[in-house]
Amino acid sequence: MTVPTIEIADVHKHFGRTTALAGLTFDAPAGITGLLGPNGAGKTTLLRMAATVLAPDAGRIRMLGWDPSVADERLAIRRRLGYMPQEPGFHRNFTAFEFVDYVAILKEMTDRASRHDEVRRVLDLVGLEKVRDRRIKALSGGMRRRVALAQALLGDPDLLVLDEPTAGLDPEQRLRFREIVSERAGDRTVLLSTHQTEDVAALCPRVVVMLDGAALFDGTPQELSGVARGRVWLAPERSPAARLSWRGPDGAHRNIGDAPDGADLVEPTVEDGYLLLVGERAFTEDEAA
Amino acid sequence: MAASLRTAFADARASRVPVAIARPTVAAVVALGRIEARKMLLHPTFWVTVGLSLLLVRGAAGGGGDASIRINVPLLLAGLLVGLLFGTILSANVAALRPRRDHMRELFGSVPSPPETRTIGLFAGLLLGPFLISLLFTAVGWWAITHIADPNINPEEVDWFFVVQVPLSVFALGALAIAVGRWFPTLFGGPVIIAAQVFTGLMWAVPWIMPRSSGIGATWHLVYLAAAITTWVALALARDRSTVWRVAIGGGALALGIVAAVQQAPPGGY
Repeated sequence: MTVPTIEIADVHKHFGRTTALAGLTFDAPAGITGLLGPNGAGKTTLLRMAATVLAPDAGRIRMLGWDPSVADERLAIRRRLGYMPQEPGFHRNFTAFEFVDYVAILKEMTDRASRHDEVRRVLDLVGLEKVRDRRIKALSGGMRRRVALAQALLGDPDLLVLDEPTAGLDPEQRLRFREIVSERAGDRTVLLSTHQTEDVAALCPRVVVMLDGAALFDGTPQELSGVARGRVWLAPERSPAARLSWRGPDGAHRNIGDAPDGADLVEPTVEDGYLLLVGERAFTEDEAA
Repeated sequence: MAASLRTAFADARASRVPVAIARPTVAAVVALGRIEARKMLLHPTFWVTVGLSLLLVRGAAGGGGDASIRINVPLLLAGLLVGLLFGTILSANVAALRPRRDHMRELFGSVPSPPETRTIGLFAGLLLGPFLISLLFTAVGWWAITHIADPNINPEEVDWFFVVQVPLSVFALGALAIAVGRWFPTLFGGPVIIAAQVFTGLMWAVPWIMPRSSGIGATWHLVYLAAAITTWVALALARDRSTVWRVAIGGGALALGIVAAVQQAPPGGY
């Protein structure tokens, strides 16, 4: 049994009348844990708590064995934390180098020479070595997200909390991101939220699906795809028996739900399992967003 | 209205970032100060204001055929000083607004350094930037007054008391701009400070820089400047955390500043 580095026990959080987390419970060991869920499921609220910038109304959280509600322990977590918020702010008139340098100082890296080496290292790591002296306001959205990722990687932290890190990245950069994060996982803890089921399938040995502020599923990506085993089939048209259906590039409809007799079943993916769990909500929430 | 206010307060309370308990370190403050100083001095509001004030002085001096007006050293220095003071107010205010305007609360809340590190870093930037420039300006101004032959110069008005007020006033007004920026997240803060100084007559009622010949109480005036700086620094830090010490020091300095402002004025006015 591996020791959990993230422990979330019966955590509740409300913002006014809105319930963001409703008794969320799960443990995660070292390694990469992916969070999936439709918009409004509570992923960002959970990640903000993991990053110690939000306190729960009730329940217990422990990160790397420390309790963020205790000031000393919160400081210990922050000293080992790299956090990339969903909507990271930027000092737009700073260059990429200046911005990451500024954050590095706040992360207690005060020796100038070694700090600058570290800033150059993380900017090189995310592929921004050629634009590090360009102002952030002149960078593209994808480049800005890489700046945000670079600051999270400062000091090679034991705990990485990444909120939708691949949003807005092109395919090459997403692959580069997977490489960076998987290289760093090892005995470190990475908690990442995403809408990209491919990222979860490619990166995460463990996945938690959240819905309405609670954990709907907690297991491996294989187990998540297994949820849809025997319930995904291809047909020339949308099947009335399908809960979800869409037309693929080859013209065939991929139907998910209770398969009718005689259907040609196919091997399910993580996305199939996720969609089956979350159901129509995955579509309606995305449309609303 | 009341319900939406209640909701806003409840949301603000629910979203509060738990504070960090680490103390600001000198090394971090100096490192931030270097960055802030560079940003303040390179910000367009700083050099545009200094440049504009020079243009205004040139306009006021005529710039035409009267050579004696064109080389009016005191007027030129006064214009530069006004530009330096107002440029410091605007650029320091913008620097203090930056974290809120750029939505940095969440990211900065997750780092081990407390918010005070950033606030003190702003004051370090003020010290390493506009304040150092004001020292340079004072030195050059002193040289100009003592070496350039200009009938407009009255050497008796320029003594150590007059000279020391220049950097102190630059720092005091910059500190005021930082305190205002920390409490009021709007770009109007800097212009409002300037307008309040100029158009309400405040700067004449409680002046920042005056020659000894005006009759001002020199010691009380220096106490006033020191008290003003202490008040603004305490006020800015109280935005991060309102500890008893900060409120007490700020309140004490404010009271002392009021007493000094009254005491420094000559009996018949300036």
